[in-house]
Amino acid sequence: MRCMPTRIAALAALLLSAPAAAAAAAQAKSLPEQIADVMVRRHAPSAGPRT
Amino acid sequence: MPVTVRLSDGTGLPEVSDANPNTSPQGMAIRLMLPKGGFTDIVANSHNGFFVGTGDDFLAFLEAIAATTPSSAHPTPIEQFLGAHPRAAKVVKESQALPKSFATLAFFGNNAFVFVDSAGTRRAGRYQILPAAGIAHLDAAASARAGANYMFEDLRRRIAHGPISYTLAVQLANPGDPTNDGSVVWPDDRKRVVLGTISLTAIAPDNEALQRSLAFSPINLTDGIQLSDDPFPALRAAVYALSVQHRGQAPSRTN
Repeated sequence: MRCMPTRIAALAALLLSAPAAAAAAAQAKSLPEQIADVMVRRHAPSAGPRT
Repeated sequence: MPVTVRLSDGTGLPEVSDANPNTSPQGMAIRLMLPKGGFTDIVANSHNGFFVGTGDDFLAFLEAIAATTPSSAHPTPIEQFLGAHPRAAKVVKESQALPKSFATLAFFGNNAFVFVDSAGTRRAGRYQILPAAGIAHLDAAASARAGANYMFEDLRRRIAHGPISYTLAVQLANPGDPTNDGSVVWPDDRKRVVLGTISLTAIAPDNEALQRSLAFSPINLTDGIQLSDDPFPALRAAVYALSVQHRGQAPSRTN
């Protein structure tokens, strides 16, 4: 299910400037994926909550 | 009924200090093993009322946190977000005091579910998990002395001396109370139905492996409990599923 958005994003990277391509890639992701991405970007490398 | 409970610091940062105020609200996830097999989960945190009520706002909240650095000009991205979202600002403001212990924290489901009784009557409600030891926080002097692992050391110490207990309850909505926005707190006078007592009696022997493998989800429901119009449980379930994938790929650590 995620192959098509990834391929669209790759095509966009060829056609658009880098910031525009990044924005297009973000648009291709679902809201949960965007939330998970920003959490990983903030925390990486993360081993999950400290429990 | 056997339960497995995961207690956690906020932020998701694996090495964050317990004494960092940004670790509040803390988390509690509960898995109840049902008598006829299977399980149901409750996922809660230690503030009554969530930061925001929509997934888009939650993404914006996280983006604002991620975009804020010590060198950010004021108002920083997170200051701008909190300025525009007073309920999120309230959560941050009310989460500054360090808890005395996980045993002295109340936890709140914040998201509404629909509870259906044997006659088919449907009532919206939110979980509340209330500590038998009462709610307590550290004063300034104790906060200054608090070690990086004081919450989890306290947990082990307390359990060694006896169970840590909480009352599991559901706060029922009155007609008209919003059920689709977990950032809106229902008034305290709403009826509270006690479901039982949760007693924590031992640290899981395979704690390190279990905390990596367990995947709690607020949509792991059971007969008589249904989703409401609150958008967050489904969103949280999807994000948690991705989180489990990331956690499985992360390097191991020691606690």
